[in-house]
Amino acid sequence: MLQLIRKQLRAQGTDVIWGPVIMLAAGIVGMSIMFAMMKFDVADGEWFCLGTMLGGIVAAFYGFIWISAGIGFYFNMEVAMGCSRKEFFFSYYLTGFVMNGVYAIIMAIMCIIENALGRMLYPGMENDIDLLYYIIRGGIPAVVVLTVIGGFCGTLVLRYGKKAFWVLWAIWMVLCLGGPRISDAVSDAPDSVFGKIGTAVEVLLESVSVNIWILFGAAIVLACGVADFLMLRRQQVTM
Amino acid sequence: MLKANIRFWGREVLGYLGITLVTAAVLWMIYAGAGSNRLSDVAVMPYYIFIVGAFVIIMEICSYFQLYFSLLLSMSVTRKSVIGGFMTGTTVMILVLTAVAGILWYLLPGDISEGGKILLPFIAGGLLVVAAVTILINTIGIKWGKRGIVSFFILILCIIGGGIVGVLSCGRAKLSVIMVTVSDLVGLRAVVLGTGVLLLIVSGAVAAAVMRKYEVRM
Repeated sequence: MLQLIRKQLRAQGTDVIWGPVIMLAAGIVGMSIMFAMMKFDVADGEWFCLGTMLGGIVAAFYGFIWISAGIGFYFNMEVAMGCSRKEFFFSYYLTGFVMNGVYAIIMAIMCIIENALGRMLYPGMENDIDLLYYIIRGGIPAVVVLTVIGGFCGTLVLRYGKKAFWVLWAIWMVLCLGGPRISDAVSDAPDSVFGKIGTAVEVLLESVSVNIWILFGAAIVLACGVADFLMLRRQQVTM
Repeated sequence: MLKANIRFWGREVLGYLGITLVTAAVLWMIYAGAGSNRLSDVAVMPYYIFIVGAFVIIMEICSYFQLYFSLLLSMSVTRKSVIGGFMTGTTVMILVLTAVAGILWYLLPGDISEGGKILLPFIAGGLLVVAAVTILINTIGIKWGKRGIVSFFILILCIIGGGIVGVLSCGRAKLSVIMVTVSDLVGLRAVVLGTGVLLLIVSGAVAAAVMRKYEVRM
């Protein structure tokens, strides 16, 4: 297993270093912005780990794009050079889990440092959000979801080409821009089509317990992983 | 040769325009389905056109550099022709999106349209800047690889962070005075639009200079 990860890391070269570099840069920028907000009295006496939050967002985007964009390139390269599809699948995913896990650990360390800096720089001020609690609680699920969904999206694009890319992108745009509109419709226009859809979703979310939703989410992620494996098993090298 | 170029780049631009307008229409329908059925709310659609358009322009330029450049060069198309083609295609795309938005805003009544007419040069300038920055990032990627892209990205982060700190340092009272003064300046629209055009020309020139020595790698 370690051998597989080592081979995959060697194949991916310096790609793995850039994520932490960008994450740290975003973290420093975020901390500077928070410091400026406190100094110029814009934050209303409360502070939070903005650097960690920005670093985490950048790391999540980088991790997702690195996994999804890289799977096609590295699949074609490694399978063309004699690696079996099964070996590639397991090594790529294991490396993805390891790298995204490293980002989560860096995020936790950044949060601890930022908390300590915050207590020193803003004495007597309240820390608005305990980010460390959420990182520890949600870190492992986030790493797994990001890696599996990223790999699945990348494999869909590898298999079906540009059509899959534009469909996935359109779904992402609809969720990002349309989602908040649907949730607004529940209160502003409950009788509209989307108001009714939003209300139905709300009722469904409240009627099913959180543990069932977690199991459902885990089942979806597992299904994506299995589908990815089955697609890669039959995928031809395209160069 | 010119006919073949126009046919190729025209097909590409039409495809991307189609994706932009269809996706913007779907997003607007979600907005309209949230309960707003008044005609004036069609005036919100241009904003979706611009948001979706910005993303499509980024992806369009990335695909030109990563895929089409090598493909076209290997098919004996000259470098000058390829760069001219994608610069023209990107400019046409921005012009068409701006024209569609402008026509909608001039035809539709209401406050949203009036606001949109004032913002149109800013938004068009913004799209030009997005295109220019994307061309620069891709050119830097080709010349200096991932190191260059990461360094450029960190530079952009620092510029944005510095801008935010600069705005915060103005303080709330001063900021509201600056915002009112800035929004009254008609000339500012010309400056933003002109900056966008200049940046696009500069990024095109940089891309042409770097790609002159580019070897096809497939």
